[in-house]
Amino acid sequence: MSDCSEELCARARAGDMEAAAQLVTLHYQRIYAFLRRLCGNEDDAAELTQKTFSKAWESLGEYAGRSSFSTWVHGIARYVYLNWRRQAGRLDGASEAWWEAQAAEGPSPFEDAAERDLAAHLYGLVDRLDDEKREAVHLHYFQGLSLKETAEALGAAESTVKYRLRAALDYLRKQPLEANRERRKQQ
Amino acid sequence: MNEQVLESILRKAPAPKAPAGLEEWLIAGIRLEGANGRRRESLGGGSWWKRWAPALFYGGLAATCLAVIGTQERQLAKLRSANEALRVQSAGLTALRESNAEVEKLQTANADLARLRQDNADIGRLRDEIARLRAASEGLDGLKAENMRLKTLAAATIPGSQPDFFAEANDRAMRIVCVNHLKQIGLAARIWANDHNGDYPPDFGSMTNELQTLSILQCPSDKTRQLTSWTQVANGDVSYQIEATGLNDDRDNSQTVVYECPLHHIVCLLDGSVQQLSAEGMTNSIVIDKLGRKVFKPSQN
Repeated sequence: MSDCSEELCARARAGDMEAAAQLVTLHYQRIYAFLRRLCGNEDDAAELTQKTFSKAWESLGEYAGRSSFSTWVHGIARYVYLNWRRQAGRLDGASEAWWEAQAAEGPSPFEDAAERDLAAHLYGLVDRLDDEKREAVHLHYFQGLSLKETAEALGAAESTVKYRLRAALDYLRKQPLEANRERRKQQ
Repeated sequence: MNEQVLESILRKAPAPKAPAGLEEWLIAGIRLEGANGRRRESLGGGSWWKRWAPALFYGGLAATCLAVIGTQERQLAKLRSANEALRVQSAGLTALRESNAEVEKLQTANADLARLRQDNADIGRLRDEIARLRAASEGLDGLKAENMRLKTLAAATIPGSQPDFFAEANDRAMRIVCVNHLKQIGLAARIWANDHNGDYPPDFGSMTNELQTLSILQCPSDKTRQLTSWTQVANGDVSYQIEATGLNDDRDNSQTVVYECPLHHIVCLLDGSVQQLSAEGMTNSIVIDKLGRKVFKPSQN
């Protein structure tokens, strides 16, 4: 997909609208999902997705191809999100209830409801991490970017990303997930 | 929960689906710069600016440097021309100084010439004077002979009545010496008064320290006494008279007569000045004040 995106990107730079539309089709779902998890509601996520692609088209001439198009757009999306959050003064991410609802919808990768609950609770804990660790977890685990791509999207060193992910995992591991799950079951 | 399980759950995070119509909205919102965008980029877009800003900066810097260098070169050229002009003027100044020195030298020579002319004129005048005096000298010899002849004739006519031709000159000289004595006495009295709160000395004996010699108190025309010791002075045996006592330099009239030579009618006043009077002048110019003191008051005639 990467090579395909690079080719489409080159065509879009030359003014090919069809290539740009194909780039949208290829990437908008992931970008929307990324922003939806971060910002907490659909409308804002849709608007931020639109802003992300608008910025991408404006800055397409500056895209030098040092990273993949996907990574580059993720970086723009993160920038757009941070900007929106700063302007709106928003601090809340997706709620745990939302995560549970997401887990309940459609086919689930989890074996049973208890595991889904555990996952939803874990995702909710992720949103309580500080911004740097949260963004790293979102990009690397939720969005599936490699360490290198995550580092490029964050504009940080790869070692820094590793450190943040390690710290996030340590934090999550220390949380009383099982006890919490049992308590939730009893309720 | 171990780390692998944790990572596995995180990787399985659900991806919320985009709302319907978002894709179309995004596609409709595509604004590609394309060829126009590239042209704009090359003309002044943000990326163009970012790309060329360093070159423009250094180009501007270089242009500024060139402008500064050009300005400095022009100023340098102006300074050089001004320097050249000053050098030319300086050369003219040297010549001017030389000519000025020449003029000064000529003026000095001219002054010397004028002085020589003056000397020459003086020499000529002196020669004329010498000639005149020589002629007068020749006449004097004739007058001397005539004088001798007249003396001889007078001696022959009135025996024992040869006139004393130097008596008048002697008398004038005596008066001058007497004036000098009275001036020194007046000065001594003022010095004494200065040391005694302005009070004048009561007698001549009080001024022995101020008077230089004893002979000052001796009038040269006074043949009646001969001063040889200060004892005589203490006894009042001097040629000059004290006309007033108890005088004070500040309080009394400065024209009050203090000392007098009765032979020559010369008076010394309180202010130290000395007046030569005749017998008639003593009558006309000396008045007596209410304290009975003689005061010099020059007559209006």
